[in-house]
Amino acid sequence: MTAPKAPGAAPHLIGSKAQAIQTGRTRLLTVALVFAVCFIVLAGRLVELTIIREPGKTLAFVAAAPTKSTAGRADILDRNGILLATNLMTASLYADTRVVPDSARAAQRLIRVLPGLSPATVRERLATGRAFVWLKRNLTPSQQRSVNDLGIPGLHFRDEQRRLYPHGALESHVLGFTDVDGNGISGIEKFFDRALRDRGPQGRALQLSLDARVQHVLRDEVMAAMTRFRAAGAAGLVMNANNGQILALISLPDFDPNHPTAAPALSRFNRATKGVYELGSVFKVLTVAMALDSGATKLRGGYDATKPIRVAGFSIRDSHAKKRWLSVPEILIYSSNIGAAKMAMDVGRDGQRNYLDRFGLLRRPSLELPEVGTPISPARWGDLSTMTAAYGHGLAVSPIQFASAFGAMVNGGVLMPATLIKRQPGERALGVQVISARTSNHMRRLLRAVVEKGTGRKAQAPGYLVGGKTGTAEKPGVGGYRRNALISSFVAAFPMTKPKYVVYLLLDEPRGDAGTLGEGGAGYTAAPLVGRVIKRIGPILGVRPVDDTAAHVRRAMAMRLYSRKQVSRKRTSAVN
Amino acid sequence: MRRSLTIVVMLLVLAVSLGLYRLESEVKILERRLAQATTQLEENRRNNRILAAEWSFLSQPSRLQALAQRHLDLAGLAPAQIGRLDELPLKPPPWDADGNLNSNQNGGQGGSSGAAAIPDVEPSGKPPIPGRKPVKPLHNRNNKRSKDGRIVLADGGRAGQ
Repeated sequence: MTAPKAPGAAPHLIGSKAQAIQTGRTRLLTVALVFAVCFIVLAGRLVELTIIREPGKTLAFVAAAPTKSTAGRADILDRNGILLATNLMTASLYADTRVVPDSARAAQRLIRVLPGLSPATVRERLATGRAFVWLKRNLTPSQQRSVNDLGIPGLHFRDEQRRLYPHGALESHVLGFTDVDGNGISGIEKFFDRALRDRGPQGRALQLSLDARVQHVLRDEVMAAMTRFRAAGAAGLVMNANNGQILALISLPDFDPNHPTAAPALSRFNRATKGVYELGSVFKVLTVAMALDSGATKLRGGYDATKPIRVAGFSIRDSHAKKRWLSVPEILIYSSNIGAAKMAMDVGRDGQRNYLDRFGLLRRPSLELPEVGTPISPARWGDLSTMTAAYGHGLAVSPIQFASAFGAMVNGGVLMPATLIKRQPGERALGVQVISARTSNHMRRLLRAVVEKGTGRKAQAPGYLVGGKTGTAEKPGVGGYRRNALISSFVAAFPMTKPKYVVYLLLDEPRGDAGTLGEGGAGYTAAPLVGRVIKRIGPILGVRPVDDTAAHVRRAMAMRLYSRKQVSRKRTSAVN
Repeated sequence: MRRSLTIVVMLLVLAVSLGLYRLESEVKILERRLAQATTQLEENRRNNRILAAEWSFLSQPSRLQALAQRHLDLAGLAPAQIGRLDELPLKPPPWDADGNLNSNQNGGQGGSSGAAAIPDVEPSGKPPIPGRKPVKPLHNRNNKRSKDGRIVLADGGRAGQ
């Protein structure tokens, strides 16, 4: 108040100036603070990213990201990790024909380095004047170099995926094949087409239950037998009796999946899974099992097989006729049609159908292949059907289906669905109890007796305790069965004390030679083949050979035949 | 004071920008190396796949069988040839019934009397293979017999493991 008036404006001025500076400072401080906070946040984030988090993590992610070479269809491996199908990057040749200077000359030079091409097609394609024409897909690296060396302008390469099957025809019917664009066309490739295509970021491979070594032994032996007996075809499989995993599956003739169209269409038909056949006497195993299991007969029971059965204009006769009363073990050992037919009648029509259905023989089985056949059963299931089905006629099933059912007969009575995919350790297979463990125990002894004393003697593989059954069926033709066209098969399991593996082999129309006395029947063709296969795969599968003459083995496999060489009519009827 | 502050700030800016520049160029070099490594990785993966396919192709069972039949003098494995280790009979020790060593203490492995007391290494009685070292017997002379008659190996049993 006492301040002079003249400079009175000055304090005001000074005051406003000071205030302005003050405001400026405050603002500056605020901004600086904001910036400081921002930078501290950034610095903190930097420290967190580089020091606190492990720096390897982000790098590993970059490395694991799908790259060009791992993209595309997943690999397929066998149970031991051997590569069965893979994808390779190959160069495919195409042309921008607008740029190619002298198409006729270019075509001529190109054919000289790629002799597989047809001259007319190349000339035609190069003359179209289009910007993109394929000339050849999937060149080898050396072919690519020689085309590059030509130095023709307008020829370009494009990287393409090519499906490769390193084992060629070995696993052809299981793997199937893909078309040139990598779409699954048949087999595993088709069944798992989606899964193989949309594989996870790690590029997981599909692991099959197949064992390439067992597969090879099977194919090698069956091929040799097929050539020897001039058979039209063959099918075979090796299956784990306790979990249904298939270790080998072949169908001959087969094809090279690298060039699937090079083989005739018949070669691509899978006889082991798609083909259904009247399998013949191997079915007696099932008939005996159902008769014992249902209590329709006992081991010491038997049937009169003196005379052929006449029913509905047909006559059922025995090929190894004994013309006497036969006990149940004898019916199986000597493969008596008459005995089996009578036994099936005791089980009854409904009982038989019920059991066959439980064994999975009246429905289409489940398997990881698109080529799975549906069984053909009689439209009207009368007494005749019951009798013929007892020895495997009138009912057509696929070999894979029958092998699964046979597995249940010997493994303690549990039907395991067949599978081509390797189970992870600890993963339990789910099965259905179809016959009692007691019946299964009887069946093991009976089947061992067939190989020791009966029609399957040639299937012996010393040390591996083979048990099994022959099956010789006449193929149906026009107006009846054809006597000379046979389906000869042998079904076996080993070792019979505790069966681990089932082997089923089938020869389509084998013709006997001098070594078999002209016989094409299963006992001479399929049985020795199974014996040879088991001798070779036993060591591979780690089955310990046993001394088959040892006392404890003989006791475990003992089977009384309850044979009655001379039987009075009274006793026969009493048993029946 | 204000001037010195300015100088300090300018120096700081200079230092920071220099550091930033170096950091950036370092990052660029690293990025280039990463790209190279990725390309290399990609190429290696590709080669790996080709080699895996080739390995599977060359180790086809049918090819191996053909090669083995042509070049090896081997037959299929017979059941009698398969056994467990504990089924192998132990060779009789080089002592007689009184527990005296049959060999002289300084005897060599070859034609000494000690080696003669031990049954031939090869039961088939084949002549020794020239050029191959004679197999060292499990029961060498340093082994002793314990009180209950069991053999105590001198090397604690390591030789057989």
